[in-house]
Amino acid sequence: MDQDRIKAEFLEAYDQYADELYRFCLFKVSDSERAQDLTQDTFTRFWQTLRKDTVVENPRALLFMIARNRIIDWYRKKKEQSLDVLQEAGLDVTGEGAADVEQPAQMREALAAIESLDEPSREVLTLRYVEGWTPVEIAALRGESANAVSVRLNRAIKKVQDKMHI
Amino acid sequence: MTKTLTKTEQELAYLRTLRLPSAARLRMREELSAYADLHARHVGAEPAYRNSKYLSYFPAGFWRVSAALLILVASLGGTAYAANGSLPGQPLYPIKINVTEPVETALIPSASGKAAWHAILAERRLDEATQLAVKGSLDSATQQSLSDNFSTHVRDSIAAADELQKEGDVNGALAVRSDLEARITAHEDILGLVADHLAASGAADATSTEAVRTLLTVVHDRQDTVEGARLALEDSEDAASSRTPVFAKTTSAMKADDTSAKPAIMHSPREITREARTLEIASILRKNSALISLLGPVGTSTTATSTATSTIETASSTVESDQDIDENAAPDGENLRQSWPTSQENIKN
Repeated sequence: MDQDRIKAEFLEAYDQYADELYRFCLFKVSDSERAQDLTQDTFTRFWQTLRKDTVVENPRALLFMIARNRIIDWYRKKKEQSLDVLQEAGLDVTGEGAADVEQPAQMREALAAIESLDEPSREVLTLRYVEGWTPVEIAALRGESANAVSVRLNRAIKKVQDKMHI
Repeated sequence: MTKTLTKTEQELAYLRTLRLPSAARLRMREELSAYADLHARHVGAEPAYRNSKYLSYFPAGFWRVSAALLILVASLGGTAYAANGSLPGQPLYPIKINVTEPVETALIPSASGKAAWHAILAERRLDEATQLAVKGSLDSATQQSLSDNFSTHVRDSIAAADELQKEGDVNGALAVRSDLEARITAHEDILGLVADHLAASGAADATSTEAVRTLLTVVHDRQDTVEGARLALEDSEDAASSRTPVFAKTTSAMKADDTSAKPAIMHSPREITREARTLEIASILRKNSALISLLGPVGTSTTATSTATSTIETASSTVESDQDIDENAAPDGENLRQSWPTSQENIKN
């Protein structure tokens, strides 16, 4: 009975947060397929937490925390294993063979601008302006002060602005 | 100034329209649902056995007699069969490790066959360790020898895959690496459950718990290496993506039940191996579902702080590597853990 209830909650969390998490991963790894892998991985780990009878008060925060760690892990592995193939060219948003997403020029421009940012700025900026998080929420995820986040945000948005509207 | 700022913000907000491709969204949901069923919670179901030493159900002389009998049987030609199911500590186990398996290995001519075979043997060691651990009879010496043997087979499998790659069969190499990875990942999963279970079921079998933990770190380490190698290979393939790979062989080797070659050609080798990996992991977990179902729920602490902490410890096991990508302000694990309770309140939707 509990299994059913928790599984229902689990799938509900999936329906609710899958897109956000996918974007979060996508902005970080710049590859649709990888982002999908990471999203799925995040949810399996999330289930592992749920099934251990842990009370999760804020699934969204936990999901992002897990995703963030998975991505860090992935970067570390990538760095260790393939120094020769570090930079991939541009954001591959659509993934291979997926023709259903026609990107408007505007979106491409925004993506290119984000792509040019360093990792912390990119994270902060996308969470704030794409996902609509407050600086306090972002600070909690990153483990830094809200003040530091705000400073980063200011710098990042200016950079992006310069990039997009010269 | 403010105007362009708002405009920039609007454009950024537009990125919200990026969604998971709907096919992937559905597939993922199904896989996650299946995963949740496989790793079901077992509320109230007491583990059927804890420390059952069913070796001791037999009279003292039983094993000596049965060993003699078995050797007799073996000499009549049934060695391989009889030894294959044996566990460390049983009379036929040395035969399995030192005779049957090496002979079988020697009989495999191709590199891809060797890579796959060593992956199977590596998995076998983890399987044996799991069986012993569940019985509470995995001591540290046995753990050590299983772990060494496991590592050797992983190494041999990787070596064979490297050879395959050098021969130019990149997709074949990717397939066998991916297969190895799936096997290790699934067993890491299972061993993790066993470790949790042993820890939760009391200190009675502290040696087993300890042994499983040690083994887990080794397994995790190998999983890391194997997955990393696979990612690197995929990346180098991305770099050289002008080449058009032939998938048919890989696909038929990995998915015997899928005979339609047509959709396979439409997918990248990466997708195919990913799917094969998921299937392989699922099938291993299914094979072990009886065992998994014996491993009851663990960690019943429910106070807010302690659960939050344990949650984050699971989630942030890799946080110390944060500096790799975040040079400016890398929070360490400690930091995160401390900030968590507040963050939970802050992020409430």
